[in-house]
This record gives sequence, structure tokens and C-alpha cells, in this order.
Amino acid sequence: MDATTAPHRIPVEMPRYGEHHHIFEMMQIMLQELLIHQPKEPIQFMLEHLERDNDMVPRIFILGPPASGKTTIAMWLCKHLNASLITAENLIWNKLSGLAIKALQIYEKEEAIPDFLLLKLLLERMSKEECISKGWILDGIPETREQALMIQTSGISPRHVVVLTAPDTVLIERNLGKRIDPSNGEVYHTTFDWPSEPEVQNRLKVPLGISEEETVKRLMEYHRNITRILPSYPKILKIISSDQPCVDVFYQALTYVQSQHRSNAPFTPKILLCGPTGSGKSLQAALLAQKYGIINVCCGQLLKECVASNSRIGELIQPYFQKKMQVPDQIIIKVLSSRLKKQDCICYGWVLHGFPQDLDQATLLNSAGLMPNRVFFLNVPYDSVIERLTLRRTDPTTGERYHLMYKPPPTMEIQERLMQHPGDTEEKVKVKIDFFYRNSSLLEDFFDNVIYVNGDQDPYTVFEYIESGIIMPLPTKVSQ
Amino acid sequence: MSFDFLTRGLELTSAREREALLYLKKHRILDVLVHLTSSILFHQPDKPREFLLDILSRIKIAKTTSVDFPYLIDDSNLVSMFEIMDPTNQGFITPVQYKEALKNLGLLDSDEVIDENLEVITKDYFRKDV
Repeated sequence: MDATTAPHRIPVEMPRYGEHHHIFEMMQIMLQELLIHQPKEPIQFMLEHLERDNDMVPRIFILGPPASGKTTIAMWLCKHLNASLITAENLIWNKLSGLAIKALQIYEKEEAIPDFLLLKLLLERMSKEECISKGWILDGIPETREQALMIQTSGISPRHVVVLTAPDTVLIERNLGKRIDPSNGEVYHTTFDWPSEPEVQNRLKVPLGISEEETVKRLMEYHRNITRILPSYPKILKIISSDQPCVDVFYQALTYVQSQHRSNAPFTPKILLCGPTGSGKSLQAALLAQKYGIINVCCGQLLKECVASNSRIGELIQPYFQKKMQVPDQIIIKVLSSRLKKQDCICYGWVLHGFPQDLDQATLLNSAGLMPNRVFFLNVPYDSVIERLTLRRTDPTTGERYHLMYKPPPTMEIQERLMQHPGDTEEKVKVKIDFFYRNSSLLEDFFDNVIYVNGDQDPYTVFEYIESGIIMPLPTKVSQ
Repeated sequence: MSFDFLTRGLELTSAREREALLYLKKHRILDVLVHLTSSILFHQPDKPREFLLDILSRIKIAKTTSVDFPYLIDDSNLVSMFEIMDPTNQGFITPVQYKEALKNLGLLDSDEVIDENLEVITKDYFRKDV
């Protein structure tokens, strides 16, 4: 619909459903495939694509200098993710393909395999069923920019590219200790990765080309080429230092490969900030509102505004305020829904804090159709909260707020007349904190995908954590 | 949704990109995708992939047999639309209203001209034309 016509009241279930089922990403991938392959029968192509359902299978390039551990990492990732491993060697040593036999002849004459032959072998291998349905991990290809461009133009593009790096001296030394198990091609090392079984130990052979001069030559070649390959993969690259134990490198690579990239899907933030009193919810909400234009909705503030504006709802709330009793949930939810369903909240998104405080309020929020799409719990230890709240002071003459530790008053004169809010005494704060923690575990279980943030840091650090939680896609379970 | 509206922001640099855009236009891929996305957001099925497979297979059959394309807005919706635009039940609507209705349904390219000589548009004409 044209954006210039009257604003549309889109029912709130639609964006929620879209986000939950990743509809945008699914359509985007389908359109990408259509544009790459440009089939003559698009409907049939789309049917086959949807049936295959392989949007999330691994598609990884692993690049790096010799002796960086590419093969080891690639093999471990394959076993873990159940994908097929493709290397230059196993493309050539394939007895079933005519192209491979030709390539083998060239290889045995000790000549380099021409790029176009390599590409054809790759395409042939990737069109096999197991690569399509289980994904693939490419080890050490592409080696030059020409190869990278050829692979890209033929329609093969990875979702993650892992580049291993290490200082040259480390690599040269490491390469001298390289050993290969001839039965399955696994790579071991005399110092870092020695196999435990004695039969394997006896089988190990010294591979060709690991002397110092050879490694230096290969390293120079690698450095010349890698700087021209990396710019081809700007947003999907991750550089991991392989100058650390294998297991660490592996775990870093695994977490990266299982993470999703930021998507282009339209997203209206509906953020909920939870935490005990004094954890910094209002401050973070104000920062978010200021930076992104999201509407800051503080529940307590909203109720007070209603009373002050003398509306009908305000008159209902006033007696509870006067008697200092908790306002009933039904009234709160009515006030909240009318605020959150206004045009500016629907348009720009909202950040809510101060509600819900227990499970019943959360269920009410759900039934009003106001579920948030990001929930943050700010964790602050008890002592920090006490320190933050009990040292707050206000100057009665100017109205300025101070904090005896974080924002002390500039002169002695002001300090003498400072007063403390009666609700900021240690006993009252303790009561509020206990009330929160009694209900917090039920609330955490109610929402799925809660993001925990350490609130015991300076406000801008906490703000950055919250920002990254909003911008990055929510973690999804990877099927093994 | 007109094709030009949807591709308005694209800056094309290479021949392959232009070729790809022509491909999209020729097979009306964007219209199909818009239809799929609107249906899926409207019906909100529990199994989105199967729902999409179902619509696509119906489109495929419809292409070969030339009948019964699945539409999001069907006949009864059109009748209601007409009745909203014609509250006094005169039996016809003006060309201006008709143009607005077509724009809302996304069927009108901004440069298409409606025959202004047709002063009145009856319900049947409206249904058939849409």
C-alpha cells in the first residue's frame, strides 16, 4: 500500500507473527535464489526451493595461511554440524567423476590446476544431494582473487567466512611438527595435537613440503593473495587468531558460524526493561528514547499523568493514590493499552518499564496483545542498589538532584541543605527489592528469549549491551 | 503494487543487474512475492512453509488450466467495497472513486488512464473489471 495514503491500522498480530516465523528472511532468500538462477519456470523453482527448506544449513569458507589449522577446524566443524567437507584434495581424488580424473592427471604432472576446471569440479560437487541438504564447508578455496570472483559469479556464496591468522614465525615453526594420518587425512602435530592412541601414532607420516623454505614461500604467496580476497566478503567475515589452543579456536569458530547476521527485516522495537528498583531502568529507557526516537513509557509516570489530567480514568485512580494502595491491574492495563496503541507508539516503537511486576500482570499484558519483542533483565547486586539509592539527595531550593558519590554537590552551603526522599531509606529500598525478587523468576520463565544485562556498570556500557541485544537477531535453536 | 514503485530506489550499474531486473518484470515475480507475503501475514498459519507450498501449487495448476487463480480479495470482498463507495445505493460510482479503489487494491499503475467518458460504473462492471 502506498505510504502516502492515510495511516493504516495494521493489526498488531501481523508484525509479531512475521518476526516470530522469520517471514522476511525466508522471502529474501527465495528472491535471492530466483535472481541468481533465473529459472524459466519460477513457480516450479519456488516450490522446489520451499520443499528443500535449506535456508539455515551451514555454508562456510575457511581461509588461512598454511599451518594455521584450517583442515583441523574444518573437520571438527563438519563433524559437529554434520555438513560435507570440500577441499581441493578431495575434489581431485574423486574416482567417480570424469572431470576429477582429468584434474588428477594434471596434478600428478605437478602442474597447477586451471581455475575453470576447479570451478567445474566445485559446481559438480555442490549439486550433489548431500551438499544441498546438509550444507558444505570449503577448506582453503578460494586461494586467489580470480578464484573468488569466479565462484561468486557462478552463484555460490557462503553465509560465513572464517579467516585464521597467526604471526609468520609461529606458523613456520608449527608447520615443522605437522603429521598426517594417511588413513583418514586427519592432521596432527608433534607438540600441540598428538593423538592418544598408539596405533594412530605409529601410522603418522611426515607430509611433503613442510621445510622452512617451502613454508616461507607458501606464506608469501598467501599474504599476496589474501588481501585481495577479503574485501569480497565484507559483512560475513570473522578473523580468528589461531595462535591459541585448537579447542579455543574451534569454539570461537563454532559460535560464529551458528550465529545469524543482522537482517534487513522491518522491525518496530517493543522493549521491556525489568529489574529491581535502582537498577537503572528509567535511565536506560530515557537514553533509548533520546537516541532512537522510541517512546518512553514509564508505568508509574503514566498513572500520575492520568490523575493530574483529571480524566475519567484519573478519577478512578485517585482514591488508590490517596490511600497509598496498589492500583488494581485492570485499570493499569487499560491506561497502558490506550497509550501503547496510539499512533506514535505503533510507528516508532516503545520501551516500557515499571510494569509488569508479577506473573498476573504479565499474562494481562499478553492478552491485551502488547507482548514485547525484546525483554531485558538488568542484574544489579544488592549492595550496588543500596549505594545508588540511599545516597540520593535533592536540593529543596533549586530542585536539583545530587548523589553523594556520583554527582556530589559543588559547595558546602548546598550540601548542608540537601534532603533525602523518604522512600530512599535503606529499609524501604530493601522492601522494594525483596518484592521484585519474589516475582522475578516467574517473570523470567514467562517471557522466552530474555536477555540478561549486567547493570552494575556505568550507564553507557549498559546502554551498549542493550543496544546490541535489540539490534542482533534473537538466538534461535540450531538443529543438530 | 506497481513494479516501478517497488523498485524505485535501485541504482543499476551493471548489465547483469539490468538483466536481473528485466527477468523479474517479465515473470512478474514481485507480484507473486507480494501476494504470498500478504496472504501469509493475513492468514498467519502455524506452518508457514506448507502454506506457501499450497498457494504456489494452486497458482501452478491455475496457470496450466487458466481458471481459478487464488486471490486474496475475492468476489464478496469486491461487492462490499463497491457498497461502501456507494452508500445511497444509486447503483453506480464515479470514475474518480473507481480510480481510488483501484489504487487501494494496488492494481493501478500511476500512468494508466481510465476512460473518463464512462460517467457511471455499475457494480457488475466493477466486479468484472477488477
